[in-house]
Amino acid sequence: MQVFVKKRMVYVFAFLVLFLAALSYPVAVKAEAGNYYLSMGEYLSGGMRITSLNGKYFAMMQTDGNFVIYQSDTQKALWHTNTYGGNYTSYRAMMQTDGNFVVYGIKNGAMTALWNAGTHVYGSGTYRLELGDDSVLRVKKNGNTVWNSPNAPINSSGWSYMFTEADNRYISSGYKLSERPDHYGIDIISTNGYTYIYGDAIRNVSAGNVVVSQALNATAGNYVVVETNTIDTNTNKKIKVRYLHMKDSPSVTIGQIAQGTIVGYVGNTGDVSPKPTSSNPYNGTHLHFDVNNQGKNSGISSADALNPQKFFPGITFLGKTSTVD
Amino acid sequence: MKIKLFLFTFVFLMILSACKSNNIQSDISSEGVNSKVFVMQNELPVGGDARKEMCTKYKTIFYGADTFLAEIVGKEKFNEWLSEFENGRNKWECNIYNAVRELNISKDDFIKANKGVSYTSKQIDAIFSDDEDEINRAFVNDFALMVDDKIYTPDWLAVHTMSDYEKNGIDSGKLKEYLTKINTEELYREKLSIEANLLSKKISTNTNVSKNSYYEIDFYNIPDFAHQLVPDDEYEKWVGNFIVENNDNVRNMSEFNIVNFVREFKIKKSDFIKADKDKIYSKEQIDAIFSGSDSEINDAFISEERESSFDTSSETSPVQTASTDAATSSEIHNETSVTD
Ligand SMILES: [Zn+2]
Repeated sequence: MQVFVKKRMVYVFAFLVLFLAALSYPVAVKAEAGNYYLSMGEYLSGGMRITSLNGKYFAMMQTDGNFVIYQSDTQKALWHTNTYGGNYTSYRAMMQTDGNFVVYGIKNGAMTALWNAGTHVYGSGTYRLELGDDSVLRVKKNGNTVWNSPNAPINSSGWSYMFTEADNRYISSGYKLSERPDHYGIDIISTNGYTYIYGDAIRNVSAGNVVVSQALNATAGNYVVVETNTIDTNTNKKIKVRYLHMKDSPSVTIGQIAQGTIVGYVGNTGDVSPKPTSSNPYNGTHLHFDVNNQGKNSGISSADALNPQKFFPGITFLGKTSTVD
Repeated sequence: MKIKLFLFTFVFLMILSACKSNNIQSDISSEGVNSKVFVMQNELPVGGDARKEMCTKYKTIFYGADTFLAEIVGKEKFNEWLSEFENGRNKWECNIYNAVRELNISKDDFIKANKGVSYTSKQIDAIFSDDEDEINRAFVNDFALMVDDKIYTPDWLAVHTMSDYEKNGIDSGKLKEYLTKINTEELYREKLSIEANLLSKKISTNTNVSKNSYYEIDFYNIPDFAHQLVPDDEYEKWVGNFIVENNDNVRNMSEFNIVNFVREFKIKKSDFIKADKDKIYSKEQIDAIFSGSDSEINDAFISEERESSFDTSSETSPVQTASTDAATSSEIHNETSVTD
């Protein structure tokens, strides 16, 4: 109910913005053919497309109202907005100046929003809609992904690493290693010695929604669960990631989250080992990061988990690395 | 190369910390939020055990204070409440039930802030009810057993025996059904222990349990007859150390074994033999339990097959560890946990 009302407000707002813009001057321009992106104010009308730089994929605003990502050689549809079949005379897929990417149906000069990415919530900035060489459509704000189409292939390089510090890549406890087989995540410390990582910012690896944000959980400590927009091809569920044992209350609360947003800072809260003491208050400092494809927020068992390392093919991990699936 | 640098830094820091050990405390207190602190640790920091999340009474989300509560009461009040737990209050009391009461949060405000995301409406109703049974039903851990609205965790079931089950009205039918639910690697040992209790006699006669497990169960389970050798309250106190919930320093389940039991309760061999009417343990095993010799324990409790499969076993055998690491059997219960 709450969500429905909000969505309608979004549509009304989006419509108003567009209407006022159309009245004053023509901000919206048709995109050039052959582009792989739409800048702010640009749109695709029926029959127009953007094509990935490598030419392998294209995303098309169809004349039937559906906006579809296709594989070029096979013409296989990879994802669509499910907006076909409406009673409209024309359609538009628009990267708006407010940051939202919206598919409109047009009839008698009136535009109705049929689908939207909801990315206007991230506020003002420079937005762009891009079709990547990995088939994924992304809305980026100032270069950071705030939304991606859910057809992201697993283990693609679509995820960004959670640390900007080059030395935070040492795994103190790896994924499903024989010495600790019921550990389904990676525990990350710094190659410079593990106390170095205390207080470092943890950045969200993939756009999605924060579904849990808790302080001082007895086992997980200060932690965040993000439901990413990436759908696992095996389970057909959205992949969830968890950031555990953070230093303070999480920096984000439930709702949409962009890639790169700081979720919190590395700490040693909850069930860590060795335990912090008054003489060694930084004992146990690390980031526990795990990934599951069963939509779980906790109680993740062996069959639910994915090897987090595989989502960061560009990162060279050190220490207790794992090749287990 | 990087590893070398890491090791070098490590050794350097060790030397540094040894030289400056008196200064560590003051260094820390003067450090800012994001500063790097030189503090030496002997073991690598780890956390996030899958099993621990499975052994709590409620789902993980019950234990903790959601940050959306700060939107309702303000950051200051929220942080002030949290600071109680940083100042010694029991961490298990930091839960959503206590949070809404102690922060005076109304159900309407909670529903609005939750946005239909973190808690289900059934869970919200339970949080705002004063009915423990309703909370139990709404938050029961997927890996726990619920009987008459009371919750029993897998670790609780594993360290208790048939007479405890009967006292709590847990019948074997319910337990058998429950065993299919915890058929996961993480709760392998708990499952074996509950199976052993269900059989209430020598496990080796049962064909449902794989041959490799016989010896393991004989070693890692406390049978009902042994439990009866000690007063209930003392037994409860002892097994309480192995229960995840309400325990800051939970003891590793590998230390829950018959050798530690007889040793720590100072059970006499003659009493033990007399009480083992069903002859759960062989003569060789009983001699080994009371021998104080790790090699004897190894011989009596680890089968040929089991030995070879220990390489890929999900747990480390304390007997094996003790036989290689320590000469005295007292090491068995002092062994530090790998999985903690
Ligand atoms: Zn971990």
